[in-house]
Amino acid sequence: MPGLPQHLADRLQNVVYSELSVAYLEIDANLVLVGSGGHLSNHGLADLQLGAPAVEQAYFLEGLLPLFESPYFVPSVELAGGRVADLHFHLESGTTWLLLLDVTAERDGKRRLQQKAYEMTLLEEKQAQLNCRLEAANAALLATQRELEAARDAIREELRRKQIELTEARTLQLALVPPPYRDAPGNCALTVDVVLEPAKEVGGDLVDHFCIGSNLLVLVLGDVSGKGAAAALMMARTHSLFRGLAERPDAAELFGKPEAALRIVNRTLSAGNASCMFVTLLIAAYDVAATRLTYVRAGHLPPFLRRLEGTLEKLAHAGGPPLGLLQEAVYASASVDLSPGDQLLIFTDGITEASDPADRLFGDANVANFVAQCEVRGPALLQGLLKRVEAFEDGLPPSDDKAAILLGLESRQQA
Amino acid sequence: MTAQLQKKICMLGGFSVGKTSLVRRYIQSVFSDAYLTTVGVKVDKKTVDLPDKTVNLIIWDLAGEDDIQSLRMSYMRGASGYVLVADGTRHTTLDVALSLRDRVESEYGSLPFVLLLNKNDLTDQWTVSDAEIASMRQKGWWVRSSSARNGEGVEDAFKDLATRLSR
Repeated sequence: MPGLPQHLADRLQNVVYSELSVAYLEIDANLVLVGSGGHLSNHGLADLQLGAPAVEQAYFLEGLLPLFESPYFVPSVELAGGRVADLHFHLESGTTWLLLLDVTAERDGKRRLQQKAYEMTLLEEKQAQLNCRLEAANAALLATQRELEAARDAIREELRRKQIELTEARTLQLALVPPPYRDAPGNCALTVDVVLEPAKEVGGDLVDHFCIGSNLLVLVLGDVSGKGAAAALMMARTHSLFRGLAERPDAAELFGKPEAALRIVNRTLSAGNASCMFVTLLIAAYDVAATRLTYVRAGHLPPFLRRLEGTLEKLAHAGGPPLGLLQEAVYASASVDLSPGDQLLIFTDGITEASDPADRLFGDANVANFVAQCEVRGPALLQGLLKRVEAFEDGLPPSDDKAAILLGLESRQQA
Repeated sequence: MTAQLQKKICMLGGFSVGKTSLVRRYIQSVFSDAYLTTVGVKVDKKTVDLPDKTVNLIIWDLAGEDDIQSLRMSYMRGASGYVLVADGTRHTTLDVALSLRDRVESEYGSLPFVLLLNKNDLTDQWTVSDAEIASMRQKGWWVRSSSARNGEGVEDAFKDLATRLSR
């Protein structure tokens, strides 16, 4: 350093020499170590042998000699002893000089800074990766959500379509229920009123009445096993079978002895009845001229006959098994004479088996009591009965279809 | 008497891909989860016994390539081959490794190398596809996955490189 007094230059040299633990190697043109000095042990080079190949003793020199560029600098090399040195190569007259300057402290300082920087970068990378995964997971969730929404919409559409179909089916089924009958074909006026309340959109209860000629009024009330669409189809089939028979030329004979009509319908329903559905049914034919009611119970509940004076009779004569079970089933009828003022109530078990919140059944006895004590007739009696049942259910949804037919005989004066 | 060779090889790759851990696994058969960055270079020696000769590998473990410190190509001087290392769970480090290979090739010509996709024990975080590996192998590159944690693929990589350097 120009201008620096010699004693200060010497001082500087001593400081550098001691603080950087300077060591040197002298290597000749044959790559043989010919000289060494300084703080060699600091750099793990304490056991050097002069006159031996330099690279064999200091393996970090592998590939660097012979020197092809001078001066040549290799910074921050951690050697076997764990110390870090800057390597300064210098070629002079065929001899390679290597100065080793200890920079361990400097390296450690740099490493602390670099470590923090890298850790920060790694954290950022990790965060970016996590964000990517979250975005991918989010996208997958959104895709799944869209699929679910599409599936839900398809199901809703299917439900809506089915609901429309069921509504149409209900309309058709209720259209099978005939209007009230009012006529006076004989000595007294006849009234027939009906109710049908399917528990679901469509039901399996059958309500029908029709005239055969001018002398026969036929009442049909049935209850198909099961509920819903299958029961409704079975009900419609049964209905059409009776209506078909009513169109035959021998209808008066068939329905005059209603067990004959019942036998035919039973045979048809029993044939190929793979699902084993059946119909409990009561058919009653009122002979206007004879003022006599002939009825057959095919496994159905007995109807109640309220006489003019208020007495109640249960028409419990057994007629035969439900329709559809035994192709060769035999049915027997029973007859009862009717008088003006009498009322006949035929009903299904949707009324007697209606249950209250305590799971008790409405039962036959309540129906009988109601009919016996009721002071109104005709449709008012039927509506009153349904209201009584509804009150009994106390808000519970109906568990079964409810259907009933009320036949009333009125004297001409009453009518 | 078995012939003896001494060859300098360099470990190259992005930061925190596991270069130092691979060397420690290879030389000392140890692994540590603690990450300690390398500054400058660390030089180690490992003797590889091949069927017909013994090769002293002088392994220069270079500081990782990153945004704030570019590779000092002077460390590569005199190297006979190198180990390119990428972290299989960080795809960007494969790009860095391939970039380093291009730089070495342009500066020192074509040298033998092996490419290690490290950290293959972290399978659930793996980002390098089989198709990418197949594509690199089609170029004649020696590409393997490795794990400094469990040692898988480590010995093979160095031995393969030593074998090629000894021919």
